[in-house]
Amino acid sequence: MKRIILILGILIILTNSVFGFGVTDWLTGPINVAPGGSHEVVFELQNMLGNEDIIAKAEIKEGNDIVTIKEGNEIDVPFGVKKQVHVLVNIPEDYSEGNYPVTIQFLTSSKQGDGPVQFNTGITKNFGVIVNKNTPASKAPAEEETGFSGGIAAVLIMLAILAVILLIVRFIHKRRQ
Amino acid sequence: MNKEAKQTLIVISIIFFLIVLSLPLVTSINLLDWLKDLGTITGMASSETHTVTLSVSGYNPNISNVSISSTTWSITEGGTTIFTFSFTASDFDGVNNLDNSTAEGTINFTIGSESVTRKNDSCTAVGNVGTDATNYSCEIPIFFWEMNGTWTINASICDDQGGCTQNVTRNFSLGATGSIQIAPTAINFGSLTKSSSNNSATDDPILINNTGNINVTADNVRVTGNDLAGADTTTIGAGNFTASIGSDCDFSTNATKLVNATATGITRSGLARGNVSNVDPANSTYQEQLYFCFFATVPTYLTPQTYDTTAGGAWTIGIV
Repeated sequence: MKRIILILGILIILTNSVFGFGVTDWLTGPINVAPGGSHEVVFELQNMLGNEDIIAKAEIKEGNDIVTIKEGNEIDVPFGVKKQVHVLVNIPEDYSEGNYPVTIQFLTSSKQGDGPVQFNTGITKNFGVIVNKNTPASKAPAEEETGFSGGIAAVLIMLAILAVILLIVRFIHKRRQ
Repeated sequence: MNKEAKQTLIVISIIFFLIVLSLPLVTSINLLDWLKDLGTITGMASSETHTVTLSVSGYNPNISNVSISSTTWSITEGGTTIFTFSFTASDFDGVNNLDNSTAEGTINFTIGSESVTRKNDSCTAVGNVGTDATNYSCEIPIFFWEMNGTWTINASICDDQGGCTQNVTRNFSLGATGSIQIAPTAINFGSLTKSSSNNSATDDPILINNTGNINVTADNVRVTGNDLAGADTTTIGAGNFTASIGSDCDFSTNATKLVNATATGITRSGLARGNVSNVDPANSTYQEQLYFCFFATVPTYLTPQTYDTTAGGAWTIGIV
């Protein structure tokens, strides 16, 4: 007898809930790292909608061998909070030069129980890593901009003046002797 | 000239050369610029024309110390971020000569032909610095759909004589925020009859709002389905379900068949950034509606029980 026999889920109060989740980055392009070098990429998770705390799960879909997440793969994001997550890109010394994609998916799940066909939300972030042995080591921005520090020049010139004056004094002293 | 006089002359020349070389140190001139300029000196002009303007209305104000707490900012999903910055306005005629009501702050973003400006017409005077300078604080709302990238800050003020000045020296970076809000967060298909097909979810559709500031391009709203399992471990494969932006179960036309544990782009789905609260949802490109369907024929071998996502994991609606 063919009767109604399957129940795919039960309508429960959770079906009326709403939640949102956001992930921010400030990337402007691929990052450059030399073999043996490292770079930190900051993301910001935010839980400003809905009404409950969430746990964000970070899944590294691409780039597992060069990327780690400082805060771990499960991150508590209380309601009303923006939380920074630090993704570390570490390139081994013997890593081949080239372009490598990194894909990280941030998933959320409600802390409040399970449902019938329950949904999470997911935000995927991608960025490229260019491994190039000619990438310079990290420099202070000021040095990168000017290329020649005025402060260093001043010290060098003062030392030169001092040295010359000392030579002159010594020379005159010898002459008098 | 005897030998001693020659040596004295050499010593004096060296000292003179060193004094000239050290000029940039005491005049705050960049050494490289100074050396460059040194090579371009061509001599004194025989005559020059000067225009002299005399102002009789006092000094114009000056703006300095435009400061922000951070050079990186983010929108607030589905809401407003209050961007704050401060600046110092000074006037040699004294602080009383500054017209506080004209203290303005604006932020501007331009990319291609698109330009957005947000402003605060009345920044607040928060205190004087000495007798001729005042600190101002400005608050400017940044809506969640504002474009990510580099924004420019413009601080301006006028004095009582109408002399105005502005400072456009500071920038900040607004991050790219991917954010969605979904409702409801669970669906069900009610009680199904064996051998029936094309059973739509009773809670259709799931409404997805773009609450961030990135555009989700076509086919990039993705659904990850997982096999549903019953208490006796019997399962219904995720591949028996479709998702669609219309109430359509036919995956050969508009619907998209789900794949177990795989993020699958839903055909023609997308989300533009924009003000979701200010549009007709039926016509909004800032919202998407997803319909779910158990398109396959319900197998006769399935045992009567509840099948859910407890064992296989929740399904995911995601964006890239």
